[in-house]
Amino acid sequence: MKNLKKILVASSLLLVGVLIAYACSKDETENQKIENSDSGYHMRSLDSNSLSFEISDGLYKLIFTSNTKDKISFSSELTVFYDNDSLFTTHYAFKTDEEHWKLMQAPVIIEKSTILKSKKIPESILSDVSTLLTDNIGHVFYETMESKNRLVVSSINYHKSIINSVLRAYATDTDCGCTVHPEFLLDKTFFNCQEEHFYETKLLMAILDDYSKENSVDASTNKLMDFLKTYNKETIRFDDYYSFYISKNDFNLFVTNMLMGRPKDCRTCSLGCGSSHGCCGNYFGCCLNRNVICYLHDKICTHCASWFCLPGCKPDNQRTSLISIK
Amino acid sequence: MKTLTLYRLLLYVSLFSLAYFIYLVYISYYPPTDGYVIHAIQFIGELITIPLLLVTVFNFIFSLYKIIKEIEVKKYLIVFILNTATIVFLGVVTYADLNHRL
Repeated sequence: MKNLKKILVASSLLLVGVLIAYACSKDETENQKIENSDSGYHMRSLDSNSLSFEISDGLYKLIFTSNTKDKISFSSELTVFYDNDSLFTTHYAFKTDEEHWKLMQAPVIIEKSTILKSKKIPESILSDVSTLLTDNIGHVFYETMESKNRLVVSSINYHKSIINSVLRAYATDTDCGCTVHPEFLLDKTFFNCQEEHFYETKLLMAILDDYSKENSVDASTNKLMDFLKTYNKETIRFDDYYSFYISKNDFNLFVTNMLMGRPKDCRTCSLGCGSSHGCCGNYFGCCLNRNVICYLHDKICTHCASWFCLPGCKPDNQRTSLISIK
Repeated sequence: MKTLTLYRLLLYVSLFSLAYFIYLVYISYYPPTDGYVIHAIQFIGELITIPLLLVTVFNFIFSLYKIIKEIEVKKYLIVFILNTATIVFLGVVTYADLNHRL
């Protein structure tokens, strides 16, 4: 019996020790280096909150770094070298604890791309850089999505959008523009401007045809299908496609209204919103039950880090955007 | 009619905790598609998960104390094993979660 007691005490202390050791331990993958010479890019794998990679192709060299210290503030930098001379650097930073932070990114992209355009960098160089990013971004996502903070990885897209906005401005001889992609607002993709997303016309038509055979089609989709029948280009830009459902002016008006602060539907609720911290559950409308245990749970699950946060958990930053869309 | 002794209460709570946490982890990985079911789970889950975690830790310490003091060792050994299994299980899934999702 005494042996059993000793074993139990020892094993209990061991269990507590292991849990404490794990809680205090750092990420072991720190400073691990991954290189892939075949594909022309080198990636330095720091901890999950940092990303650094280099793309080399001919005389071009692109160095990208991105990191977050608190998982709320994210900063990144893309430097482009040509023949070992630094051509330009783009910086991008965003914070996810601000209300409607997703809606704030497109104006920042326009501002940054206007600055880049003013540097008078030749269109051919920007086009090459854009192609390099587009060609390699998939590899970076593939290798980092499982191990890195998603928002750290997603920072690449802001730089890509800045360069693409300048290229569009060059091509159309207009000011830089960018309309936030609705799928970004719904957390289905990383940041993209509507103007840089294209559908293949034939594929889109085929999908719509299939859909219309099995489902009833609304008037907007009917108009779109009629338009596609006479449309002879290989691709259709997303904003042109989307304008059949909501005009760009109306979409921009919606974004502006959201940023100006439309009152929430649950402003008259005595216990606040069903999605606010402290309310048990996460739903639209008025909160039905608010208490300190649910507040504690919500605070722990701000980033939905674990099973503990229950299925359907929405991180705070996304939760705000999802509500905004409704 | 059997009276609900402290041992029985702890045993039932320990069994419920283990089953509840296994179910919770399972639905975290395979969430139900019905939005109403998810809302119901969130509503109930937020309320009872933290208290149940505290109860599990209490049961673990209490059963260990009983065993060390040699009070109904065989009975409390079952409670101890159940709660140890719950804690180890939650430790493992949390470790796996933090290393794969973040």
